[in-house]
Amino acid sequence: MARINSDMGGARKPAPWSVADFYRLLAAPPALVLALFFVLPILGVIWRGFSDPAPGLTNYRRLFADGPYVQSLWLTVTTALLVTVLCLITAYPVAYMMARARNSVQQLIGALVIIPLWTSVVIRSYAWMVVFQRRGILNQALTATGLVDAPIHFIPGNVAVYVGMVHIMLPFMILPLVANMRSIDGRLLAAAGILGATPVQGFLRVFLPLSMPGILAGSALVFMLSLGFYITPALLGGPRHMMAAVLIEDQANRQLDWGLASALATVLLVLTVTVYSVYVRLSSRVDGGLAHGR
Amino acid sequence: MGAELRFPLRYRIGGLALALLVTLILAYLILPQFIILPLSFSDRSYLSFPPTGWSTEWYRKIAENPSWGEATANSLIIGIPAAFLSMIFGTLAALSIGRGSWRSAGLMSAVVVAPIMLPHVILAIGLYPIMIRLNFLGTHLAAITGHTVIGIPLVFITVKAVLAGQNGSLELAAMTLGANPWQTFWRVTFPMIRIGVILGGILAFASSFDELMLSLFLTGAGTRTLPKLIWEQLNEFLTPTIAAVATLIFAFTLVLLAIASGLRGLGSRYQVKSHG
Amino acid sequence: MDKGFSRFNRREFIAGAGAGTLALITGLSSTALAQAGRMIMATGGGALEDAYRKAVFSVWKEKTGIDIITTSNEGARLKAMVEQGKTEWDVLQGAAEEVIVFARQGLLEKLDASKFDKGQMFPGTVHEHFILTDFAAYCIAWNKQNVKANPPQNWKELWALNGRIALWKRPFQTLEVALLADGVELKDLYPLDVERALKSLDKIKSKIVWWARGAQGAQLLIDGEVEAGAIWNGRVHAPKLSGAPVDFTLNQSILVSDAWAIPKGAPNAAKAQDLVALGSMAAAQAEFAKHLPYGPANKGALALLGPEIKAVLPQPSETNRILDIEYWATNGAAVNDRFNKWLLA
Repeated sequence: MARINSDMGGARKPAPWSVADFYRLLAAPPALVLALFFVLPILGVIWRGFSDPAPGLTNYRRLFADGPYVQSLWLTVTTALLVTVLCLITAYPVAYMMARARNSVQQLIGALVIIPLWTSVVIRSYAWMVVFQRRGILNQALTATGLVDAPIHFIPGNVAVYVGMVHIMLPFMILPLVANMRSIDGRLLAAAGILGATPVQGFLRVFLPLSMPGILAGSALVFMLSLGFYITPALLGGPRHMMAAVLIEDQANRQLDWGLASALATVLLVLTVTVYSVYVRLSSRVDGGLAHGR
Repeated sequence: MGAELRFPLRYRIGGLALALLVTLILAYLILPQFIILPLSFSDRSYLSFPPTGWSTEWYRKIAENPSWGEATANSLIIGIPAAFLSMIFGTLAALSIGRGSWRSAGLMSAVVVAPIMLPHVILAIGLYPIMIRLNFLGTHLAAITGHTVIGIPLVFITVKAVLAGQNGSLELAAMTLGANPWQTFWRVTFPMIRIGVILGGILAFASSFDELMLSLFLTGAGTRTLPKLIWEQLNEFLTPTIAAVATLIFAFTLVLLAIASGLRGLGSRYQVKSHG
Repeated sequence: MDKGFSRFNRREFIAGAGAGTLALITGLSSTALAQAGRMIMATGGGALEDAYRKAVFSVWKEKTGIDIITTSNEGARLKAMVEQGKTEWDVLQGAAEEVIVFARQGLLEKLDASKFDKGQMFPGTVHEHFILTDFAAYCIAWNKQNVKANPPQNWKELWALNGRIALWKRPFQTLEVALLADGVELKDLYPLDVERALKSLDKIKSKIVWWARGAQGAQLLIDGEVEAGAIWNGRVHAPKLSGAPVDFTLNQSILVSDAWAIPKGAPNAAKAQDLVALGSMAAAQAEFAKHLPYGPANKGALALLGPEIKAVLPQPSETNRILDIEYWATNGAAVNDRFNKWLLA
């Protein structure tokens, strides 16, 4: 790391410090908060998974035995993955436009993204129920235009669930994308154009790679949030969409089997930490080391 | 900006196609609002769409019932400080991990971000004894703390995304010119990442505003938040009251955004453009 | 570079907001524990709580001058409170099949049986640690626009219906009705033959639309998203009266109950016993039934009600069966796992 000695001007001589040292210090406040209010509780949860009702692996044995848990975890992960991919595809154009647009257009798009964000997930999910109903507006439109003969049973079903979940998650993908895209220098694209690249080439070779950190950030965020999701799949989906969070909540709140709930939550936690570590490794490679002042 | 490039017609159409696509997606985003709005004026006591008649009964019910106003106030009292604290701690964490050259940056990031994937009931169960010991439960502090924990990852991820797009050269330059760390941070780094901080804060507020389980656990008896009231309706049958509540929130959000855009108009003259 | 104007604005705003919120937080202490003259009851909220307020709390206030603050009755919160020795609730209400689980985990105080009018209460309603206070019916309902003639009057007919059928996405009550549809007699339901019930459900699996919350189930029926299905009478009773195209029958229904109990370590345990007793009295039960279509657990309340109201209230009879909460308390975990596994298959 760069070490600055103020021998430069020769006038004063403050103690030498390094950039990295300063930034390391910044970790102290959040570390304290998270240690006390997250790590500590979670250690308790992990411990409980191994000790409630009796010390040992009973909870884990039950998890991996002939129950719904493994399947549900698999379903949860695959659903979260699919939602993330769909979200990314849908969000990217919007973020692109929002990041590069004029101020007024930017604010308009921003408003349209933020407004649904602040409406309760429950209410939004019910609105989608209204859309996808047998007698709902979508079916009415489809039958009126003759595209289908009879109303389609969207609920329960994959289309309804994914449309609903992507809708909920979209702002969480758009905003990190925008945050990152806004710092991409427009002149780089202009330079590419001057050097003979078509806009498409300019986009693919210059803009897209530079937006990678945003893509990775938004994807990680949406993926993690989707893992803990259950309202929308419960209202729009069928039993095929039984998310792990439903099971955990059931065990924790109704069956009051905290040992099992803790074990299940621990498994989910380990999964997520692994995925996220992979993401961080990927993203640091993508930066090309630029972001760390090396 | 450099010289204006005139693109041939087909590139213009490409731009038009993009605008069309984005408009469609935005329509998708806003579609539920156009269902909720008419629903809130329905004259039936159960949800039926399209409404057969019009009535403002549900808005009257909200005005008459103090629980709704109280719940909104509680949600705001918890949400705004939580978003604030999330912005502070999330940004600090992002800066530190992003620029601090930690060896275990991956693991540290994972720990910071983990709260958002855990079902909140688990976190609530874990936090509860700590809150008791700290005596936070009598006030809103416990809920604020809980919501901050789940808000920090949102700010962290967003700010880190902005940071990643920049190397440390501007800061190095500033420090070469004699600025101390605090000056460098406040006058160079922060303006660059400000957009990430604000967007992260918006996400953090939204997550708190709609959060149910931690609020239930960490607030005192009789303290209701908005999600709790809405959730109660799920135990019975739905009346257009919740559609009216959603519409009111929608209107309130519009007002807020209008104010924000007005303020931004004032401050935009003073924005720092990174990379020139 | 930031010029003075905007930076000043921002700093001031931040400082002001910070100070303001701090004042709000510390000023709005929401603890009710320290205050005498108040008791806390945890309920399911909504219309149930309103009915309790009118039927019980107002009478209680007259008698004792004590206000009742209500709060949400999350089971996990109860367990957390009792574990930490910091119980805040004086009384709690919950679904009987969940309250019995609380009892078995040692989270409840023993009820003072002498305070109840045991002769008046239906058999099986007074337990050691809790008391059932009402009967709701998990019953057959149909959408009148979809099912114009010959609506299903028993579960066999529901199973045979041509169209989509809504069922609760949990095994409680759903397995029972599956057995009834398969020809099992009401009196032979318990212990449940889980595999037979699942086979019965298999026969209509493609027709089933599962609902997770009561309001969702009611909405499915009201909107005609399904032809018919199972729902609790309370969820469709009021919409029916408001003109929604739903109707239902109480024939062959499974009766479920709310239960009242006292959490272990309740701050006002003695008074809580009186409050629970009050809730079980005929007068309170009758008043409650006037607000919500749930049958009273106290037989004496029936005498106080008019015939039109009595006709719609679920009451234990030979045409229905009370959910066996002992069975579910013992086997719930295993059956739940089996059911969820079946759902995912």
